[in-house]
Parts: sequence; structure tokens; C-alpha cells
Amino acid sequence: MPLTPRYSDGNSERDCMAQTNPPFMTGIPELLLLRLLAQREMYGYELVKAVRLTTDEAISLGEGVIYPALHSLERQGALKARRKLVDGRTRVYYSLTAKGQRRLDRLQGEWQRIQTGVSAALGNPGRA
Amino acid sequence: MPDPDFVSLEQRLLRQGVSLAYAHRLTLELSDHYDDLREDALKSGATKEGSSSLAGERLGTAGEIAAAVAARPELMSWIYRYPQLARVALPLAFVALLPVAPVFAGIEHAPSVLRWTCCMMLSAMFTTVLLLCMQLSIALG
Repeated sequence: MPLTPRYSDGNSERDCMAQTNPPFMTGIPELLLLRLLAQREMYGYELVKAVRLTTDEAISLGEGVIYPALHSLERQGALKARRKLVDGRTRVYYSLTAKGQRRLDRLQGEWQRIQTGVSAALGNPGRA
Repeated sequence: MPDPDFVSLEQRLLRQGVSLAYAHRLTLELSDHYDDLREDALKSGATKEGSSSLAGERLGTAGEIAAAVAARPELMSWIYRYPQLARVALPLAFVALLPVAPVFAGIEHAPSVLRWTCCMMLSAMFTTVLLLCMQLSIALG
């Protein structure tokens, strides 16, 4: 049984960054997954393809790594999963819950705020 | 490139502290994803070996997947998330289950218990009949 705290690995710089600006550093895959699942329910492979397609391959998620992200969102109540038989194969389809929709709205708002700020800084660097 | 060893990945995840049900579910979904990647690669003209290699690369290594799981404490089993609670709850649960353990063992080995009960009843009946015969022979004789 582990004895060390699980929520911090002692990397205070990373922890600090994660606290001050989590959506910028870690929320992009989550934002994309929630956004795509807001349109319709999809299974993992379909989602990875949709991310590549909608972002013109600018963002390519680690394909195996997408599942822990989906399962984590499911545990937090943002997504729900159901098994569905399609063409003789059982697929796990994910869809957005009301909680997930609220989370998506919040993340979209935060992302737009950051995007506006960064665009302003890049467009007018001398002002600072 | 050989097919990814999903059994080893599952064992690795279990050692890492995820629950058996979750480790099983994750590896099943990964295995399906791998099959989809291979099918698509084959459809786009890749050879069998080429499709396996491409699918393996795109899926990522076992280390990457295990690290992604480890980075999300909510995916760990409750024993790893709440070790202090587990240290108290597990011994208490064992103590509470101790008296009913023979019942569970009986259910588990029901045919043997049934055979043993039948044998005991037969031997008891035989002894009773024997004693009755002895008693009758004394009384009548």
C-alpha cells in the first residue's frame, strides 16, 4: 500500500502551473473530447479520428492515452458510457452528460479568454 | 512488430494500483482500438506486418498508457486512493466476515458438504437401527 501522498509528486513548479492555469496546460484534449461528444456519441477510435479531422491534424492525441482521459471524465460524471453492438462488434460509446456540458461551457470560456489574451500579446508585443 | 501484449499491460496496471475491473475494461478497449487501426491500415493498402507495426506505433507503448493512467488518481482503486481508510476498513471487514466464512466455504463446496451430511445421516440411522435391534433382543429375550 503506498505511503506517499498521491496528488503531488513534489514537483512544485508543475503543481503551481497546474493550479494557476490548468486549461492551458492540461485541458486541451479534454476540451476537444467534450466538444466533439457534445455533437454526438462516439467510441474511442471514432473520437481520435474526429480530433485529427476537425483540427486539420494540428492536434493528434496519443491514441492509447485517450482512454484514461475518457474514463477519468466518466468517473467525474462528465461523460457516460454505454455498450452498443455495431456490425457484430461491441463498442463503448461515450456521450456528454449535463455536468459535462457545464464543464465544456466553462472550459470553452476559459480557453477563449486565454486565446484572446495570447492573441493580443502576440499581435501587439510592444505594449507590454 | 508483434501484437501488443495486452495481458502484460493489464498486469502492469494491476501492480500500479488500478482495480481489476478497470484494468480489464481498459485493455479491452485498447485491444478494439488496435484492431480498428489495423483494419484501416490494411484497407489503405498496408501489408499485414506493416499494419501491425503502424497500429502499435499509433496506440503507444505500454509505458505511455500506464503513465497516463497513473497521472489520474481517480482511476486507481479506492485502496490506493484512501490508504488510511483501507488500513482501518479492511481488517474490520475481515473480522466481521470471519464468523460467516464457514457458511461461504459451505456454499463453495456444497456437493462435498451434502455428501458428508448424507453419510453422517446414514451412519446415524444405521446406528439407531442397530441399537433398536439390540434393545428388542434384550426385551424379548
